[in-house]
Amino acid sequence: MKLVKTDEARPGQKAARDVTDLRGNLLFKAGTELTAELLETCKQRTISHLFIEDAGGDAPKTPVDLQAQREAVQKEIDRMFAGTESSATMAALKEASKRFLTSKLAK
Amino acid sequence: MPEANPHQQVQEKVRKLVDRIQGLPTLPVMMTNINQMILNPRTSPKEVAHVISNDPSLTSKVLRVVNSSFYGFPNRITTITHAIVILGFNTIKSIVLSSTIFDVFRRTVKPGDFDRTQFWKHSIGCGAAAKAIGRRLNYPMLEELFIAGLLHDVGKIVMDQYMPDKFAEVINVVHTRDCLIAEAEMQVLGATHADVGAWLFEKWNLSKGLIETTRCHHNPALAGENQKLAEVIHLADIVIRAMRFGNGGDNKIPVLSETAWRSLGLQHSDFDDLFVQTNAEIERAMVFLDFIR
Repeated sequence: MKLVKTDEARPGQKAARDVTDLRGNLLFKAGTELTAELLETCKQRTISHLFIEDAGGDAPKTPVDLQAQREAVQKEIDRMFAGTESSATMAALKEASKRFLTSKLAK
Repeated sequence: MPEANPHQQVQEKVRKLVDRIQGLPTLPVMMTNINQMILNPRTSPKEVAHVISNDPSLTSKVLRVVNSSFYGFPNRITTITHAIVILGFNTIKSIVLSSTIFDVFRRTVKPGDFDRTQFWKHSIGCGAAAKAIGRRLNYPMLEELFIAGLLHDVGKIVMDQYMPDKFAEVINVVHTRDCLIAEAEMQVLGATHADVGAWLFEKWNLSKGLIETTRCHHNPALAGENQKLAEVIHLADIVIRAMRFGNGGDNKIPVLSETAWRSLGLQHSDFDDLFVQTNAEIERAMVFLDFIR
């Protein structure tokens, strides 16, 4: 499995995880073969990255994959917390959220 | 003529809103009977068990929960009477209430509809986070916290099921403005899911604590004598969003009330541990996800 930018995903590749929009609605399930229409839908729903299956199956995560996933998670957390910057408690929660979610990626 | 205060204005909007809802379910008679029986100090566990046992599906769900890791009893509990003796009337009532609500609001969902699985995951997660917070605070009634967290957003399901066009409009505003669902509801309906959920629980004659916590989970200072309970649910709702577990209809984090934070007496350094404890509570509470399948 690897994380790619939606712009760089190609029809014919397979989604490695369920894909949901910002509201959490399921757009398509893991294992679905990507089509031009699905990729367009992802772009319209501002989904910036997709997990796709590696040609070689479930290879272990490489440091580069992990780093890309961490960056994607951190970017998403920044977006979710946008507008809460004036609160020190929210800033502390945001950092704890990043630590928690990125530590889960490594497992 | 004196002007109506803001609370009255919202209540009037909620009244008008819910007046448009046709065929809202009543609380099943069995649940009403159990509520009344439990109020009578002379009711025996056997009598309540008899009422529950008349519904085989409910009986099996209650036994599944009491035998799950949520309670973690070493020995198997095989009868409702035994479950009541061990866990008490109120705990069994909470399990029955949550199971009833999952059933009352069950619906076949099409692609593109409001995602109820994600919604209930958020709700179960909020209950789990509330329990984790409660443990940290030595709160005496963890069960009450779990149920209040589990049911805090029920107004969203009421709107989705009974005014789907309006609720779809709300979700559309959330999507286009990338805002909180409560903000979109105020824009579209003039009242929020918190008001609708509280109204439903009032109509169903549920506890004052559950009603006020549901109504005030975004503004716990208004919850009166239930303020502490509402503060825990307010924080739990925010913690579970920060853990990205489930989805209650938006994908933003509301700002935590500083008053609530100070009142709870927690420290910023508690967040990391709170996440870990909430994760453990979620694993124990997963049995509730079976209810929606």
